[in-house]
Amino acid sequence: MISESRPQWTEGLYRPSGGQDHLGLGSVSSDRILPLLAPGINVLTPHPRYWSFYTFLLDEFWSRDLPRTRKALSDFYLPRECIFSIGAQLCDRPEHSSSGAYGQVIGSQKTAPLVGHDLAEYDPHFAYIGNDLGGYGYYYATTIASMGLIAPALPAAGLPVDAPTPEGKIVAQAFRDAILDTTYYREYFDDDTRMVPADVVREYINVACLCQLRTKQAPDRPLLHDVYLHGGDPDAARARRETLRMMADLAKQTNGHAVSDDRFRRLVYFREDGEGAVFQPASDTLITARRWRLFQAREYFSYAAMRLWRHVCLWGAEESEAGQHGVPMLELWHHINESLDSRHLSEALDVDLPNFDRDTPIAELQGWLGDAVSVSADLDDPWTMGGDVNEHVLYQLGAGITEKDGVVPAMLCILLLLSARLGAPVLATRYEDDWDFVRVGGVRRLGLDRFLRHIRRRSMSGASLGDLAHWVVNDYVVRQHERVAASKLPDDTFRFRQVGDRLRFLRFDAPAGLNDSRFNALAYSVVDLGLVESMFGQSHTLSHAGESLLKIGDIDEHSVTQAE
Amino acid sequence: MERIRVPDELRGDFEHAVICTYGANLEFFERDIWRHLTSINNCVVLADDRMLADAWGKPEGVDARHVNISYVVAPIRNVGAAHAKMILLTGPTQGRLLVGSGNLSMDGYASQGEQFSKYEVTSEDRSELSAFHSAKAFLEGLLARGYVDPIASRHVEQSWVSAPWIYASPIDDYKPVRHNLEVSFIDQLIEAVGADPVDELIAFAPFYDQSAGALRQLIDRLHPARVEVLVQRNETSVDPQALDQVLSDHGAARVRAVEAERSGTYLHAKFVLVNQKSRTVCLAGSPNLSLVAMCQADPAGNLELANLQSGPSDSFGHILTSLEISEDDLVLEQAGLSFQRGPSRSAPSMFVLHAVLADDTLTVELSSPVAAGATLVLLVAGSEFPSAELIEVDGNRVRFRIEAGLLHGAVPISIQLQDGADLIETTYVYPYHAANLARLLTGQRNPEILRRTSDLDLHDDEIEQLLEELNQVLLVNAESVWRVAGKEPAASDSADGSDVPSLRWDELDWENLRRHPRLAQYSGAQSSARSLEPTDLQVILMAITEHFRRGERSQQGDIEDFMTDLNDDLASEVEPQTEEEREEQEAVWARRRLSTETRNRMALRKFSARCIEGLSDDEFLDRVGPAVAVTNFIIFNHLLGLLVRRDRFDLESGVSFQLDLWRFLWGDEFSSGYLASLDQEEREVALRQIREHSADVMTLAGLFWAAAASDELPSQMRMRLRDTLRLLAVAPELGRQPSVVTAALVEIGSDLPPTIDMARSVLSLAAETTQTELLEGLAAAVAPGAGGHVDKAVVMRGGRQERVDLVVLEETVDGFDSDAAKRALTVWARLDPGLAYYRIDHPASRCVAVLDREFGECWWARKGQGDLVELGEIKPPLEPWRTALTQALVSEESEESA
Repeated sequence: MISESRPQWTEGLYRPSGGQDHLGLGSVSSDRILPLLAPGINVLTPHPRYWSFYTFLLDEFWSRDLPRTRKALSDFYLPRECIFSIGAQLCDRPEHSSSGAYGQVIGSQKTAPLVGHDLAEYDPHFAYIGNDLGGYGYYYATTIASMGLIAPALPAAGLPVDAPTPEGKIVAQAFRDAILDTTYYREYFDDDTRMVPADVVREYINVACLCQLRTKQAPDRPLLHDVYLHGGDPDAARARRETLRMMADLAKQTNGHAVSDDRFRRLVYFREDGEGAVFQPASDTLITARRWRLFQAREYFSYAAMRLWRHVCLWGAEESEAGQHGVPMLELWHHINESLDSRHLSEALDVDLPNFDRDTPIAELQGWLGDAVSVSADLDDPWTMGGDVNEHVLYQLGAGITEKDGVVPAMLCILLLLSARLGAPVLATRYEDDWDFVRVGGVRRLGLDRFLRHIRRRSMSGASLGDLAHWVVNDYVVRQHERVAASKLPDDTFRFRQVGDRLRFLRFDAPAGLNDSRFNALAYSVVDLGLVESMFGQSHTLSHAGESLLKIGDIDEHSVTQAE
Repeated sequence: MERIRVPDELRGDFEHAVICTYGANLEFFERDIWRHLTSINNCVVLADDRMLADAWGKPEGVDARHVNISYVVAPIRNVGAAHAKMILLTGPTQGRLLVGSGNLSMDGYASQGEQFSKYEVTSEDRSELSAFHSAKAFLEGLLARGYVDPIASRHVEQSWVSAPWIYASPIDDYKPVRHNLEVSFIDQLIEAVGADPVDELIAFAPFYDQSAGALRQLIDRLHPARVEVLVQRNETSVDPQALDQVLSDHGAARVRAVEAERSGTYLHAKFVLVNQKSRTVCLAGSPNLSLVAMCQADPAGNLELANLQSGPSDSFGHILTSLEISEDDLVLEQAGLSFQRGPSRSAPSMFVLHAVLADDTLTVELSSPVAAGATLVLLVAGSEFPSAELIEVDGNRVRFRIEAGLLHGAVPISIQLQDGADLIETTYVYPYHAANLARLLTGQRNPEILRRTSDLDLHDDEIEQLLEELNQVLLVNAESVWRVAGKEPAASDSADGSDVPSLRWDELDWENLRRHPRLAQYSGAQSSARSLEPTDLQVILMAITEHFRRGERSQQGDIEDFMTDLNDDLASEVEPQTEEEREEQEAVWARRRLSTETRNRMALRKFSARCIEGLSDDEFLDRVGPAVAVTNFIIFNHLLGLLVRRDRFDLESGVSFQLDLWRFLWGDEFSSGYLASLDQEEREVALRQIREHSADVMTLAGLFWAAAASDELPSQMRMRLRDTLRLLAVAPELGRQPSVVTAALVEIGSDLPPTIDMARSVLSLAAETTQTELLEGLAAAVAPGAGGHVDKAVVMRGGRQERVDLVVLEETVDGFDSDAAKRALTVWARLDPGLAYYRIDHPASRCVAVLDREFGECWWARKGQGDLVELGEIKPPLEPWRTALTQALVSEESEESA
């Protein structure tokens, strides 16, 4: 009996896993906000011509007497995208390099080095990607379907593999028209067992390449204008149209300045980039620009929380001797309190700041920060970048600083700045139609609106910066991370766990950064669609279609969605 | 000795679970522990009140969907800490008890740093019964002292009401499980050690009292010749100077460093080993080496639970050999040790003791009376509950009338009190959902899960749980009846060599069995009358009825959004920003999906096979009658339809089970079906039930959906589906009822992609004729056994050459005259009325028969001899199914487009 019931040690059961989005904040932007602002234009779906190319491949598949199975589609698809990917590395058309390196070509991680070998011919069966449906399966299928060119497979409803819709067939035909006379299409496309000579690939890609949509001759370009501006759900199409219109507005106003992800972020948030470019939205793009500004506010908010999380992880790695033992929570609170010293931040920023420490009332620092950035009650006013302290400066500090004591006050200042700008209750009423962008995230994913209300309540009750830091780190970092990691079990994505009154640090890869602003995807979209000459370069001349979009909010080329 | 895998120990034939823990991580519980408790319908988690208040202390609560709805979580309100850790599982014939050091958390149940002892009672072996007696006495002590609120107490008591074995006498005086409700652990340990000298005392605990007083008392009272204290560097909460002083005073004591096998593991286990000349006494469980845990009993001390065992000297060696213990003595000053004060035990000025939601009334018991004139606001997840009406304040009890539907999920509530200038917001608690929990006490199943049968509103990892609930509710086959009767089917060898239950119906006491709640509930299910306390079956059936009414109701607006937000699944990941992230994400998803999908698929197949087995078993059907058969059909048909449509079940398996199911009730070309076998009165009752729960609609919906997807099915199954479609299209209760057809199309409409032309798919499948069927049909018309094949030929039509399909009769066919030709063409035209051109050649006799609808020709001819016979008009009547489907689907489609 004893042998059966003796105390036994327990077994460790969970497998450590990397995981992403450790506070559950990033998906608020990618799943909830951005689908309302730029539906279908995702970080990894920036090139409109993939709409044509993939629809064309599907159309070619369906036009052949092949089994209607995913395997057969994969067998047909992969060699043809492989050649397309290799080709995009070989493209020597001026449009390909007019705005710097042409990025985000599917499979380029593998095909770019291959092309570097300067081979005489290429094997269509080169393993360029890990997915059985390549870039289409990984990235583009959902977005192309959402714009109405593809009917997604639904085996349970009798559609075994994706198929082009009638609109999709029109776009597919336009792409086919573009490449019809190429040797590749005529002699190699049908037979993927043959090696394809490099010259044949070059000839093909010189008309097929993603960049060639920028030319007026591209037969699919007007069709894709229509798809982007009107395809799919009408509300989504409207939102996409308005964002593209805002991009045209922004491009025109920043003509002469090369825009980047980082500058775009500043332009939509502050309406200037601090380097000479200014964006003052026209009345027709004002509401869209306001929403992009609120989205960016959420991004700074998420960044502050993530950066504090990273700080706790890295601080804990050191304190726990790389996870050898737990660290009392009291030590964390002690560290946070000690970090709340204006001198740390002043040194890090190299600017004079008012003195503050853990006992300083929230309202005092918030008031100073509000004055420093000249807070306005109008959400459409420009927000100056002229002062020493603003969200972007603090973000840059967080991105560049080593784990010194400046991180905690810097991130708290970001949060207080957001509170100063957006925390007035009247804003929620005045901008009711836009406030969903602030509310989003709710309780579980730390909505900004909820944060603003709580910080207001604490500020009014005379709470100190120490109280604020304790609350933010405890609720928005420690507990939130544990909640999110628990929801992913049995994958163990915990970086730390509270056990009793100690934090146990488990793993130390703790990235924190701003999410992609979508600038690259939007910029490629407007440039590839031929609306704007360039966004990455300095010359942002709008084409006739781009001017039309900016002026009347549309382009008069309803050739696909009105076609029957 | 092998390590114990705590979650795996939770599976078994148990009905009740009581979990005692200091802190309770309910996210972990719902994500990974609850699914192991599939057979349990009454689960209670008792946790320390301050720890629970801390965990629930925020408006957003915890990320758990079923707290106090599907299982009970209650605080233990003793003076000290409620620190006992125990898992007690009971069933009618067996029990399992784990007593140890781990709390309900990932580290407590799934790290390498805890210990548990496991005790079991089965119908064959009751030698460890006394351990269960101790656990029961401990729980009863908590209840008797009022440490547990009344609702949770009822659930605890229930765990032994249905475990009669627990009332038996133990076989000896050995009591391996101890609590400290009356006697401190040190006193119990001293008694167990007895008068024999102690050679050595070995102790390990993560927490000491500030003066190391508990250790000092152990040493002083046991008088060990040697003392060895094990300490985990940088972890053990102890004042190194106090420890050093205690050990120095002894004179023969040493301290050694200890680590777990897996680096970085926090050792949270606590044990004391007392080595005597020929035996060892071991105390291991929840008590730390602190005065409140080890040296005091309730109420001055904590509540603790431990295993106090003894055995030969080497009995507990594994405890130490599983650890990495330093050879050298530890220098305490360099070990990173400090005394960590425990959390404050002070209670807030006012807090919620518990809250109960019953119908539309929320009753909240506060810790102190509400001052006269104070205003109260009900907060839900940090916001004021919309339209909550305060209807009574009676001392420390307040009652609100609320729209209960808004609190359908697990949501924390709090009370905000304004008394003059004082504003108090109580801590948050999860209200008990009285009706749901009461059902669980009566042996009924989890209504929250059962209700989700109707719309499959389940996470992937909840499907298995739903099937287990259905297994517990439904009598699906002979084996389930047998188990209800409390009998284990004897195994016999089947043809394939596996053991199958051997069932003898005449061994069952049917008179008594029909009164059993599991069987009796089927009679109630046939009635439209609704009782106050619906049976499990009625819960499912009512939810199914609701499913078809849902579209009629409006949405709840903001509040619905609010509740949805609370149910947000935090596991969803951010959109990948790079190709590498995308590939990593895909790999994680694939792993998660595969694991869950495999489990679900196996569970679904098993459950479906059992249901079909029951409905194919004439003896079972005879015994249980139409109430059981028809009700099972309704539920299973509904569930299968949704599973297939939502892609939760692979198409081929799902449709295969659906076809079996439809054949059972509606019949096929070889049998008339169960419905037709009933007498008039039974049949009317069954049909009323079928209509009430829209099983007719779900049959057609499932049939249409399967038809639309039939390209994916193997040809044999496609033809089975086609035959069923033809049959049910003309069934008076189904295809002949326009309202049923319409409702079926509405039911699947929202799930159907716009690219699918449902009417065309259905008509196309129904009209499909295989080549074999065509040739057999023609052969029957020409001559018995006549063979033939389909071929292609170039013929003259309307003055032009045209390539056509034709049937060539074999040479063995003896003659093909004009009469045979007319019969054959008529058959062909009936089988495939959509063709324009029909031609049959018989080369042996040089005869040809042609029906050309386009050019109005119909003739038979013998080549070379000039024989030509006009055959007249051939226009066979359309088959009834063709007419019925065309009328139903085509007219429906035109109405919709109009």
